[in-house]
Amino acid sequence: MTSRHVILLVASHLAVLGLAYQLSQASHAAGESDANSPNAPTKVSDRSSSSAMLAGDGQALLASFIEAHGPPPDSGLPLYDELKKTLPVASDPEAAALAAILALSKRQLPDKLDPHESERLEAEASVRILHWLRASGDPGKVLDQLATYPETKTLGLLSSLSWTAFKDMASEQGILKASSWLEKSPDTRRTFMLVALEEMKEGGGLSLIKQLESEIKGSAMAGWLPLFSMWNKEDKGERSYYLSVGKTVSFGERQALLDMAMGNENEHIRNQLLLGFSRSGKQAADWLLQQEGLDPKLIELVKTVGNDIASKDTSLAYDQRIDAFLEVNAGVKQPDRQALMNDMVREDLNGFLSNGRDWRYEFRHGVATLDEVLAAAREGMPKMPPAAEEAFTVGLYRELVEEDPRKALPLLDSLPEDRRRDALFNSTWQSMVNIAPDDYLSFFSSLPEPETPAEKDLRTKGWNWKARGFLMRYGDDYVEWVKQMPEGIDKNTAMNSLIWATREQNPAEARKLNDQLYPPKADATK
Amino acid sequence: MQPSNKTRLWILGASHLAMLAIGLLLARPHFSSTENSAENKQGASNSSTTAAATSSSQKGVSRQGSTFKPSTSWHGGEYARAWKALPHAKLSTPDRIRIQRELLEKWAETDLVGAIDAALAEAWDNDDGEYFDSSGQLLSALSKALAKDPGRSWDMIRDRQFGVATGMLRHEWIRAVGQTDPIFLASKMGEFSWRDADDVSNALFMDVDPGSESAKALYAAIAKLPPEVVSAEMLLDAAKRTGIEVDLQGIQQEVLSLVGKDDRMAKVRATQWGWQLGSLPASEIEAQVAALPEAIRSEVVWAAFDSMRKPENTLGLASLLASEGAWDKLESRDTVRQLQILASTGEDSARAVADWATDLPVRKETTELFHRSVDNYLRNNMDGAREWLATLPEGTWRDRAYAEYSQQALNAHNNPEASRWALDQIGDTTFKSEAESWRSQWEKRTGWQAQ
Repeated sequence: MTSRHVILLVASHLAVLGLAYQLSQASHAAGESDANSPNAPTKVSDRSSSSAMLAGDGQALLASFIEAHGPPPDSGLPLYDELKKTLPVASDPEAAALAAILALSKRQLPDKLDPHESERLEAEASVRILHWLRASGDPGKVLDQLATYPETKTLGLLSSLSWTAFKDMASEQGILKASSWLEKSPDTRRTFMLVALEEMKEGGGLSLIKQLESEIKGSAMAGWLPLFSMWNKEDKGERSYYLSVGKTVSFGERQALLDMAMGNENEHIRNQLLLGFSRSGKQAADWLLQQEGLDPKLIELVKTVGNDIASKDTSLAYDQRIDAFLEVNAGVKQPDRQALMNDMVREDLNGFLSNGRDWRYEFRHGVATLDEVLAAAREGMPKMPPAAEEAFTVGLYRELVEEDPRKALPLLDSLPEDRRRDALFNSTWQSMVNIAPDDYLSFFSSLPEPETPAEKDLRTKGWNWKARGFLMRYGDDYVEWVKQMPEGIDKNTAMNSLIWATREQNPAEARKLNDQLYPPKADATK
Repeated sequence: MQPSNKTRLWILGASHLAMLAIGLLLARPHFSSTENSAENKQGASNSSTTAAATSSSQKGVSRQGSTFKPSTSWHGGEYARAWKALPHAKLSTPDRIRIQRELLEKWAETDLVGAIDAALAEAWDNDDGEYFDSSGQLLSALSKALAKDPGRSWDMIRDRQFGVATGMLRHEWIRAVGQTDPIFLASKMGEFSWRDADDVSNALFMDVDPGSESAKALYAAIAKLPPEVVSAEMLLDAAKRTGIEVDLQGIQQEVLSLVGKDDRMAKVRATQWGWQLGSLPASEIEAQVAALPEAIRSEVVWAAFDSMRKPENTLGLASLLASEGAWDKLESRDTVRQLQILASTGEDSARAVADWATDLPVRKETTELFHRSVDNYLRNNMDGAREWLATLPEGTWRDRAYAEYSQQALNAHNNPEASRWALDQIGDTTFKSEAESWRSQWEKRTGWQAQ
């Protein structure tokens, strides 16, 4: 073979090789573009590894990810829980704990610090302190010793340990034994309440409650416990200790609780225990109200709490709930029952959408159709009288329009035309708070031409209502976005709203912005 | 032996096919799977797109030689595919958001832009939220990655790489970098819009350990920025928040030497000096600042007035401000407040403040101050004050004092006769009609009718 042949051969082989490689790469990269989002800009990111043909692979990957990242631990502190299981106990737990505390306090903050480092050091210190607590046999002494270290104060250790090492130690010992050392510091009051309530909820019952009371009697703990309260996630409110205790009592032990409460000289404790008990359920509240000798203040409170709970009880009819609401809010002179019902329907709907299946997300991504969501919502809502229908339909529309305005629109077809228009025009300002401005703009193509003065006003109301929020969220980027809007009424309204919203914060900057947006004409009449 | 043409063609064909196969093989995506998940192994074995004989190498061997690693060694592509599968996973809302956040956090470590794009393709609002939030449910999961290479992520934000959404990222960036590298954040202060100024200054000091070395370094970084970016007020605030020790040794000389060379620092040091003088009587302060140029003198006096501890020094210092011609300071709410506090401490103080006010030069900046300085005394001495009023020299202050007397008579004592008496004493006719109009407003409000 001649050298020319050799060159040709090599070239053709390389060409085939290169071509095959390029084609294959391109087909993998093409699979990466997200077909679901019209707004996603072209990715400049990692292209080397995916293909549209691998959809099944995505589900498998996701499944393995979910398995590796299980549900969050109760303490909300994954590092601490993990280290608790894995960190071996040092031969001198006290020294090791001290070393860990010093390492934590020496951490230098800015400049190239790995953000995980702080958390890891804190978790390790907490776990080592737990080891120390266990080894010492006398948590009270450990607490005393900790209080002598200057680092304890600067790091706020006692407070953070109250959720972790102290809590675990107290749980392991049991609250009756732990209460003696838990009263040593204000920071461990929280631990006391957490562990005590935990044991009561697990079935400690009246006997535990009584034992605990006699255990702390006469101590400092007994002095401030009646005033102590903590945030309760479920109730979304501050709950006092005795109120929470009362709530753990089972219906079966009601008489014993009543006897104990009535026997307590402290009126505040008595009322809190019983009020807490009334919160455990309607049965409890009803029974309590039938008892004699109760403080009239307490009776009022129980009734109020009961009505408040009833107004939110989705197993009751709306009319009943409105009645309960009005009992509590007796000041309302001319109650608008329809408006109250509408509010309740909207709240129930929001509860349904937030606590069950992820309908809004699935609707957005085309996995659930409008009909499916509608059917599920109907089933998931409490029984709705005809008067609740419009609030339901419009409420659901308002939720779904934020995900996909075009697909949500047919929901309103069931309404008479004037109600349909009302819902559409009011959605401009009552709905779509904080959604992407581009999505908000696209909503306006669903809006018919305004006809009445009210509609004309509502046509622009939304832009004004969103001006402050958009500016707070996006800052100058929103100003730039408005400048690039297509010409028309929306742009004019938005531009104007930029000026007044800016003037509220900084009149000088508002003047500058005004000149920018509305440049003074060159042939000014000066 | 030379091969025949046919054989040659066969060899050529086969060798080119082999090149084809090798090319496709090289472009195969590299992925990995866990050891535990059978589904994954299945998925992995389906993933090859090559027609050629590559099935033997489908066990998830990545091109870099890592095998069967869990998601800790995923690349952007894996995260993207898992992300796309989420709508089908039928999770509850809180679980879905939690998984999205965890995916985003890990994803951002290998492919920040990909993760940002994915997050921005979702809803931006917080469906469940009752309060305003600056960036929705997902973006805060990216803050660690944003802070990891602050220069690079800052470029993206400065260049508005993500359009209007950039604003949300900026909130997260400021917060995250304020925590991990406040000195870098400080270095960018001149590049932020005024809209972000509060955000930035809060983030700068969020994690600072006042008095520490890092706090000092942070202060130094802020002080390096020009006065257009960092004003004297901002620098003073920074000094406080970083716990910088204020050393006043030789302060007079220091301030003197700074004036004209570094006016911002002159003002900062003058203010810090003044803050320490609040317990001294005015005459002493006057002596200390005598050698300073007028403009900077009033800064010291003002700072002293602002931090004043002893009411007995109030009037002296206020007079000092007046003699310095610091009218805008005298006009300010703080000054009024201090004087009112003083007047409320007792009858003698109220009288002293009223007397002092009559010595003020008559200017538009001192008018409101005058009214607020005499109102306490007049209000609480309706009878005795008549004599006092008579002793005032004719002129603006006397007229205004009568007008204030009328106001107090009406509003504090519901006494229209006393008000009438006072109004009739006012000399200047133009001002009298103004004072009368205040009274008719009262008459309208209360519906009082002349008998």
